[in-house]
Amino acid sequence: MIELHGVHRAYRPRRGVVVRALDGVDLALPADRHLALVGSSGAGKSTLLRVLLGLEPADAGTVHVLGRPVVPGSARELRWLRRAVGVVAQDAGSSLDPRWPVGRSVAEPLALLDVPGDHTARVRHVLAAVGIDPGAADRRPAAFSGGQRQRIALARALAHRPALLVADEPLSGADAVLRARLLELLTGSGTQLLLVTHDLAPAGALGGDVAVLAGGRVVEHGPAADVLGAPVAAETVRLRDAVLRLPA
Amino acid sequence: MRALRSALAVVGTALVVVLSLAALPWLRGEDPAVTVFRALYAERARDPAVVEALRRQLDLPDGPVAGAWQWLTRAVHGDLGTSWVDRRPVAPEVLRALGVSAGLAGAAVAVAVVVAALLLVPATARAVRRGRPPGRWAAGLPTVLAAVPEVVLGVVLLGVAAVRLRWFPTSGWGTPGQVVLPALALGLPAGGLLARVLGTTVEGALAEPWVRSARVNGTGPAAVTTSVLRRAAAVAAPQLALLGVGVLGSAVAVEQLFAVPGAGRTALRAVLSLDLPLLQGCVLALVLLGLLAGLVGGLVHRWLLRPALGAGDLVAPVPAAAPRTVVPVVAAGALLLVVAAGLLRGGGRVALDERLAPPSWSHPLGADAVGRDVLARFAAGALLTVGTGLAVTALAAVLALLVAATARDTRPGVADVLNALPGVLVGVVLVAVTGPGLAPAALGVLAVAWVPLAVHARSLVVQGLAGAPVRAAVLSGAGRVQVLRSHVLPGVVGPLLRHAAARVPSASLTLASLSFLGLGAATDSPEWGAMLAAGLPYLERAPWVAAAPVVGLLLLGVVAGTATAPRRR
Amino acid sequence: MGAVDHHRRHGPVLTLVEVTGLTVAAGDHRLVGPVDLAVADGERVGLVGPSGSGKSLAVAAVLGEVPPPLRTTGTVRVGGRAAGDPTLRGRVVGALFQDSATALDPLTRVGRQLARPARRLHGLTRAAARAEVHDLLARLGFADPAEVATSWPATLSGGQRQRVALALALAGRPRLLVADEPTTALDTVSQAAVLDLLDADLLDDGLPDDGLPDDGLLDDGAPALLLVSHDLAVVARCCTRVLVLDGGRVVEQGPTAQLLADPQHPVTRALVTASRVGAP
Repeated sequence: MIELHGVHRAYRPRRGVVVRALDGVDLALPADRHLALVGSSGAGKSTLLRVLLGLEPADAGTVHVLGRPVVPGSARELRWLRRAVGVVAQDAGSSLDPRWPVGRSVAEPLALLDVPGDHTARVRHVLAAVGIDPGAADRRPAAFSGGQRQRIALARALAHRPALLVADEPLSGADAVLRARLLELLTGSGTQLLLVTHDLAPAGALGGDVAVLAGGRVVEHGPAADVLGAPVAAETVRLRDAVLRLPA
Repeated sequence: MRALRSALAVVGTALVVVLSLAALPWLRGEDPAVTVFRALYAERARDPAVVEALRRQLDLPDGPVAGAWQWLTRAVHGDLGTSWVDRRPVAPEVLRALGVSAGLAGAAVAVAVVVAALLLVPATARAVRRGRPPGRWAAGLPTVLAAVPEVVLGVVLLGVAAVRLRWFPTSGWGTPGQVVLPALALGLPAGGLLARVLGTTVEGALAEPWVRSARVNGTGPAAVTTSVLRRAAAVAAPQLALLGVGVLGSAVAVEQLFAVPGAGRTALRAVLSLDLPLLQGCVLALVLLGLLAGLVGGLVHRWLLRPALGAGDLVAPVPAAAPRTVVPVVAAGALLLVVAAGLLRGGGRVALDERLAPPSWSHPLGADAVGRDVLARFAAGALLTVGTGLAVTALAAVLALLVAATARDTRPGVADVLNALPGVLVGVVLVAVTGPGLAPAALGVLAVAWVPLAVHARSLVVQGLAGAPVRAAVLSGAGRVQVLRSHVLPGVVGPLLRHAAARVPSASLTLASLSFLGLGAATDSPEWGAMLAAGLPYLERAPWVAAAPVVGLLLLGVVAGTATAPRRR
Repeated sequence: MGAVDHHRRHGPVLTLVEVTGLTVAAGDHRLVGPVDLAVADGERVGLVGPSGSGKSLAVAAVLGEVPPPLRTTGTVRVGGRAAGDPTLRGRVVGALFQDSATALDPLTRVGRQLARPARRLHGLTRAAARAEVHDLLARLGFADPAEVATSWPATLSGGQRQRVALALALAGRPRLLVADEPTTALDTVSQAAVLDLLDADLLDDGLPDDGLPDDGLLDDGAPALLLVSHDLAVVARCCTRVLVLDGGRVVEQGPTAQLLADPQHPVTRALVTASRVGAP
């Protein structure tokens, strides 16, 4: 599904300062296996996502999705990538245009990507799947709670039936009840998941692989049970120790 | 890459401005020697021999390119040519005039700072102590002060303090007493505007979370107030530079009114006598001063915000029309009533036996120097002043939207260079090219009016492009045009139109200023600025002749000032 | 690993925070209350509940910072005085908020900001204040306090800024530390670091009673803690007593261990169950 080889990406925010956001990333994700990409802030997760989604070029290395190379370009050139991948951004609720009825926002990818079929029916179906009343599709985002907006954003990401769903910190800012619900929806969506997070805890619930990113490199990668049960890299140990557990 | 494009835009625009100025004598479309001839011997038929003699005497170059090049190269060495009128070198005169203008501007800025401090510091300290945003920042004294047009305040001060009470001299420059009235006329409105701009940034700074943390944890109110004021001043520094540029622009009319021999008055004299080298020199000096102010403002802004490293994204809010404020509606309503009454009267016929008649039943606002009914003329002038202002602003809004739609970021571009040019100055230069008239004056106002609208629209577009809905749309396959059309522009058009509506009065005021200076509508026109100028000689004997346009312009200023008051939360 | 109380008292236990019948309303709509709450000197109390349950407003009432359009009724007394009394600020109460990015004055160096409460409230000289600030930063886990004290807030990472914000809350040597979602905006590693610091041992500044007759409160021992979070695990880690809020009311309260072992109210049960999901 995804293949990154030797990807480098550096920034120069000020004169004389070089930030190596990605320092030789090697990552391969086969189809039909979920992946949780875990790392603290500054580890390079956002940069990796932007390179993967063709929003930024890699300074060196190759990026392939579904066997095709990913290179930044125009909307038309990247259409195949947009069809294959659905994205739930961080703080997804605010990605809904406040002036549009939510139904229109959910239908937007269907219209932009020329997806065949009845769009209205698809919107109703996908809203129901995330637990939002399809009849409310003509209301504006402000009429919904924060948790509901996040679920609507998830519906929008799934509307065009992508092969891969990328979720960027979908659980941050959510209280425990909403987190559990969102996690359920994500794993139950039937789509392959790439979950990007700073918290190891949901990685276990995913039931797939875990890749740990630190200092712009993948320092550990393997099935969740192995990585969480017997972590090898120092960063993984640090992340595991930081997980807050309720006293038994 | 973007930095390069931005630098190119800035340098390019500056070059165009300078080159236009350098080639000014040729922009009129006629040989400069002919221009000089016309200026010196207005009535006589054109005599080629005299024209040739003039050309040799004044060493006028042959063509625009040679002329512009000659002017530029000489200007760099400090030689600004010789005056076409009195054959003396221009540079010393410009320098002297600039010194006077700088002195007046300095005094005005001092007045403005004192006024703003008196209005702002106690209110900020109180707000910090109470932990609540100050109630009515924009309404009240700052807005009223800022709303008064400088030339109108000048006329009022002149009439009251100089003519009637005789506390101060009416004109001239040199003694301390002569500084007071012009400095007040320029400084009080600027002080009000300063207090308003700083006030809204202070309000924004007070809402930042660190203020609450500092206060709750025992940092004293004095320290917090200082920090808040420092942050607001740092953020507002570029706006303050713009304020300085505005003062330079308004100074032209005030200098003319009080006969202060500054660069503005000199430039005006040069235009009216077609002494183009002198005009070039004065405009160059004023523009350089304006650019310097802008540069200093930008540097101060960056230096003060240096430690925050881009956390200075608290942007001074752009004025948005306050939809339900009573004051602009009442003022506009009063204006409309008077205008309607005047239009209904019709007439405006000359009646010499009623010259300068005081207000009476048959002439509610009195009669002017040739017996025409002031009220009727006032109404006719309203259509000219406000109507032209409306047309100019509408065009400016369209232009601004077109420019903003191509914006990619808020780096300086064409608009920011043009922001440094006061409207009155641009009008002066344009009139030098085309001759006086309402149309060239309107064009001059347009050239400047589109800039603040474009800056506003640009920041809205950039903000919209950076927003989460746009990013999500891009990830769903949308291209730039689609994103602009469906997500960004709908959110830009509304605020832009409101902003434009709020700017109609100030465009009208600039037009009136140009007419007041004799550069816009003809001297006999009922246009308010021209009416004001015509009424000045009779200020003592028949003040009502000037009173009508004063009140009209004042009301226009109030509508302009309160309609652009930042929205109260 | 639960929270441990360290009590070094020399006299009767004082009630530091007394809230009786607190309600906060926006017009006719009641947002919080009626709520009764008490925090004893040195006690560590947590307020937990889903988003929108009114926790932050309740805490704002304790600080006397409820914004004007909202009305507050009921009594809230802190350290024997009315909530929001300016003499409480820094000296009796210190506060730590959620947003670390904007928690510090961006145009003043860290050390200077931290020294301000100490100098103003306790009359320390500049040298003495600087020493105390360095000591405080060292206790909060900064390896090079002098370096941090001379830096600008924008050069610090999110976790570091939040620790400095904690130092600011402690700078006036308060008897009560109020923390409103202090780790919600941090990644798990920074969160762990900050929560470690809220451990009683580290908060105890080790200084004896300064002998000033001003507030009548004992200065010994660590300050009391009032911690608000939507995350039950955070509250369970740091507090010995927990109140659960829902819809503006307290639906259950009790010692932490008991609440976790045997939650009664459905909201509490939902929180406990959800908090156990996804934990490796």
